[in-house]
Amino acid sequence: MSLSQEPAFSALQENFVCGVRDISNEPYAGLSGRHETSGNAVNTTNGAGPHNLQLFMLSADGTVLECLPGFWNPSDLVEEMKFAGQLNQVWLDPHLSSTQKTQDFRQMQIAHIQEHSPQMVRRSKMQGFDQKYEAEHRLNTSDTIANRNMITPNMLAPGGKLPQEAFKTCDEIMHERMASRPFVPIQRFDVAAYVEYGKPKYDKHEDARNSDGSVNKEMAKAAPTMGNQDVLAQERMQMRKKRRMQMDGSNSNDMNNVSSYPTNNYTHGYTTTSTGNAQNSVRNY
Amino acid sequence: MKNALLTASMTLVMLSTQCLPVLAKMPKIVPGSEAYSRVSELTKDITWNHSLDRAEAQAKKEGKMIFWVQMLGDMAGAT
Repeated sequence: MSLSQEPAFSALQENFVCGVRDISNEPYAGLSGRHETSGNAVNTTNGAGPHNLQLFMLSADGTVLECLPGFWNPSDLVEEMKFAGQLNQVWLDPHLSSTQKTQDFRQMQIAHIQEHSPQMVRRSKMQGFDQKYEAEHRLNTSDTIANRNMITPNMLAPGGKLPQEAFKTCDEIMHERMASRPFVPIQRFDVAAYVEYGKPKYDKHEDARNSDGSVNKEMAKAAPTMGNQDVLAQERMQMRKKRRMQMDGSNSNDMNNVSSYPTNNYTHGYTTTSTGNAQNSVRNY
Repeated sequence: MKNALLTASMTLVMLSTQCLPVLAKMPKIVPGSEAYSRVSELTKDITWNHSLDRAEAQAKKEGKMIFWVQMLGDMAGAT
């Protein structure tokens, strides 16, 4: 895990009180392969696996300063920790009004995108399967897509390749989504909408890899999973719905809005809108 | 003979460079022993609160921010 690597490890020890919560029973949780601590691990891109892991940086009163969805490179994580510190200064400033704090938060989040190094941006490219998932299921509504006109139907066919330029990088998506959530208490933070991009099931099959890095498909198929087991059933249901619509000759725009994730239908006190702005019940932590 | 050797060596160079992009796409595997070591350091040298209230109280006392991880599974166990 990147948290154990420098410079992230020292930054955690010096600047933060740490806490952890198991989200396996949350409706927004994804599905993953089950890996023991002695199992293999792989490095991946920033923002990969958002449904399975969220890294919150909070002010001492529980106000959300930053939320990094999924995996983050240790160096990039430390940069965001420093940024969280700057936001914390704004939050704690007694001379600023609420309105000013909200404004500063929004402006700082968007401005910070431009401060990311080219290396960080490169490390933040969305996984290809997540891009494909967004293009297939949310072509007309996803905020992860930078230019819809660059995506053509043949790119979504088996073997097709989507242009990287059509998609935003995860660092950009993260800050844009945070900008619309200024200084929200974590109990009211709409995690479900915030982490909604890409495939609900994320698994790099770390324990089913051959020595050359390729995946042993038989081992991967037999490997145990953990998390929201409903994810697979929901995916299958949505794919069946999509196939039925294709057979009926439905409008392609309608098919592109068939989300794999049911909206306004969560238990555990969450409801969301399709634009991603949620109205959470207060969650008891 | 010399031409045959030259052709063979150029073929090998071409094949190896064509293989590189494929190999480069394979993710870097962190072996289980190293992964275990990292997790042990993380869980032994840092206290991970399971209560947000307690984390908030400690953060206020120490003048720190809170790093709150939400994850599938247990940090010290299966994930």
